[in-house]
Amino acid sequence: MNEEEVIRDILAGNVNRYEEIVKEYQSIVANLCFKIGGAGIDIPEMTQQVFVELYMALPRFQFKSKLSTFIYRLTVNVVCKEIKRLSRWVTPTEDIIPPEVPSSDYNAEQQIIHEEQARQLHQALGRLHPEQRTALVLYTFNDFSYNDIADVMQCTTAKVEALIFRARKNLKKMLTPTN
Amino acid sequence: MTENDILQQLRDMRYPGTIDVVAPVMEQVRNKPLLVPQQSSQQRLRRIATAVAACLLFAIGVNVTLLFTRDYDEVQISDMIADVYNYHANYADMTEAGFSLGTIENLY
Repeated sequence: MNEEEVIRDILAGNVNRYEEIVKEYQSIVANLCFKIGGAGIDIPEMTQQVFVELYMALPRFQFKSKLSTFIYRLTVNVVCKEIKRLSRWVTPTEDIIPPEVPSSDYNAEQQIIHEEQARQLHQALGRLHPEQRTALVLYTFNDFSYNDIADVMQCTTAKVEALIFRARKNLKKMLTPTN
Repeated sequence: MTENDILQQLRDMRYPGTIDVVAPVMEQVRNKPLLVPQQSSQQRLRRIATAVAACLLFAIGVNVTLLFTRDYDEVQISDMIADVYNYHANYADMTEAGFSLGTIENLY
């Protein structure tokens, strides 16, 4: 998909082409919403809101950055606004799907351990400061560079480095069993 | 869990449900006309006027600051004059006390 051509077409009045952008990015946006906002927020609703806001923001898109960066920035803003509105983080207990692994590699016991670890990780992630969580999620999302993250979060690279360092340290502390 | 395990698990974390928001999004955006900004000559003129006004305000601000700085200098000068008077008073006292002019100059 030639994104620039699609966007110019939409701006010229061919709204139907917006479908292409939604189809291309909807799972990515939903995943990002889920990781930053947790299961406490309505992910389909949030994803829908991101795309409606993206549509309204399209005339402001300057083609200086990648469309994906523009979408991630918008997603982070929309989710952070929602978190602030809800002022809570609800940790899911059952709806986390651990990464799919071949059954030959994992027996039932290992699967349970793996699921428990995923649940604990999600819980710990929720206890991080929203800025640290966002930076860390983006860091592990599509292997973003520090510059990309700084671009999305609209802050300096040094701040991103510090946020990720603190987030990793805090997560490790939270997930290490104390004697 | 090691730090690498944590990062790997974060990478693998996925939204558990299925997502398909194409229809509701398209329904909403079809009813929202896009406001593509087009700058008219009048808007451009207004922008220039705003820029000129901002420059004028800045110049006035600089002048006012300089004015205050000058006042501050005057205060410093009056302090210096007071010091000179004080110096003379001490100078007279010391001569009267029998110090030679050279010694007093050296002391000061």
